Amino acid sequence: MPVIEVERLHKRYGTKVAVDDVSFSVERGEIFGILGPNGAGKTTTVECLEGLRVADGGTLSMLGLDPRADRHEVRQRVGIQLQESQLPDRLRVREAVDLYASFYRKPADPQKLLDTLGLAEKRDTAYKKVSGGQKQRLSIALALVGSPEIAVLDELTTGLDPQARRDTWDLIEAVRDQGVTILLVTHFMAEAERLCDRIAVIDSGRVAAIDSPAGLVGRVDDEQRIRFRPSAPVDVARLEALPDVLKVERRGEQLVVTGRGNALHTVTSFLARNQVIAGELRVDQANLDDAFVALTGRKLD
Amino acid sequence: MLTEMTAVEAKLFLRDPGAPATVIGIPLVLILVFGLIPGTKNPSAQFGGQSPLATLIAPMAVAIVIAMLAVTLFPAALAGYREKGVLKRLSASPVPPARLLAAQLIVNLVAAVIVILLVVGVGRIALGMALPRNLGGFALSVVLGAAALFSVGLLVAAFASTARAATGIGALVFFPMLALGGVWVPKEQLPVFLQHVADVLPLGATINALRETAAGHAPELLQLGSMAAVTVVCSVLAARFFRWE
Repeated sequence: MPVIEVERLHKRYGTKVAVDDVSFSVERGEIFGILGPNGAGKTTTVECLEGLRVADGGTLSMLGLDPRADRHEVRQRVGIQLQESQLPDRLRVREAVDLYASFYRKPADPQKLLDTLGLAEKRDTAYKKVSGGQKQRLSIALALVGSPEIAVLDELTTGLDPQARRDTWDLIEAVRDQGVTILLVTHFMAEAERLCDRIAVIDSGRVAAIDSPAGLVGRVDDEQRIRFRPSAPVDVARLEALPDVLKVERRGEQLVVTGRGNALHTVTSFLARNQVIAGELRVDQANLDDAFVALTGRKLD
Repeated sequence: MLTEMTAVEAKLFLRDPGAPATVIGIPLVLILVFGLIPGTKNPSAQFGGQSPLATLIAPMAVAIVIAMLAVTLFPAALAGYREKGVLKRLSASPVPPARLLAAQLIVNLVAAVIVILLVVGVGRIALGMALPRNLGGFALSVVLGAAALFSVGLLVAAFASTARAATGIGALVFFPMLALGGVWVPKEQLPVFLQHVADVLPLGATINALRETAAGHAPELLQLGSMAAVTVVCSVLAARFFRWE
């Protein structure tokens, strides 16, 4: 049975439609991603789910509960990390965790949580003195301090440096391994690809696709680009005439061959037959970025 | 939950580099400086045979403390919490953000009570100042004055989008009320029309009710009525317009 269900969610701000028609469901123990460009309606969707906004249409359920009507029960069992929410400057790390722990029926052990999140050394440091990455980890700590069954994390790693981002990803995987279902809002392709079991691609308030990262990539044409610097001149016309080769372009000293299916094998065999060595050989295949472009007709960032 | 939150708010209040020193310092300096000026402690015909220290300076110090907390610090804290998303973050927790507002209010009211006791205590012990003659009326005026001024503060917090804006609006409200309320110029020396204004504006109403009761009289009806009316109007408007995010 799904722990999160969204059916035909619709939300407007005045006359502006933020979420047109969004449906998805999340199974227990999943890391489910909501991926889309800024302004696609991702945050509005999760804020409706969190009961922070009232939906104009559709039905929502968290753990079988109504996020608005049963908000008290939902808040006890769902941990939330909001985009861009801060804490008072002079509040210390440990005090923040202790305070939030006091809100819940079954709080996690604050000290253990700080250890897990690598914040133990900063426990007595004021909020305004800790780094961006530490602030982000603290906000994750506050989302987890109530021992939630579901954690909703909105733009978790925005503004973090690459190392801090990777550390946070490891952390989220560890949290999921403890049985917490995770709903992750992101506009980072790499983050979605690395963490999510399934992704809902949202664009202009609608779901463009829901699938695993590999499933999404598989929907794109299996085009590949083969680049190399030939050791001797190559007859481009003959290359272009090969089966599975769609196009050949010359870029400086390099040739870029666009093909599909067995194009790589065909091209390398052709070169071998003609005693040409392919220097700096690189093959680009479709990835989630290409899948996103194919689904929504534009690039993400 | 309210206990934990109030304890945290109290710590944050005390950690502020400026606020506690200002809130304690200004009224204490006021009472000590005026107390050390020869003559202020002696009965004066101009003050109905009582000392200016007990019936003018002390009420002023008490009202200023309440007003500083209520109209500048309290709304700045709330607007700051809204600006930073602290209130919204609480909306996503089991504890409603109104609890934080309550904790802030408690901390500010306790601070006000402590400073008022300090002002009256220091005046009494160090300067031999007379205690308010109508102690019940004095206490009632403190309570009503605090209610009126904190409602004004809440209204400021409702309309200020940032902590800086709240501080600015707070100052815009605070200083004219000082000027027109009988602080810079005692009420008696104002033109008659402005004397009524002084009794109607919440800070002036508080000061002048405190002055009446310190001298042993009953507070004037205009002062009490104004404080009650300001409380009702400002809290209703604040409740209508206050946003948690």
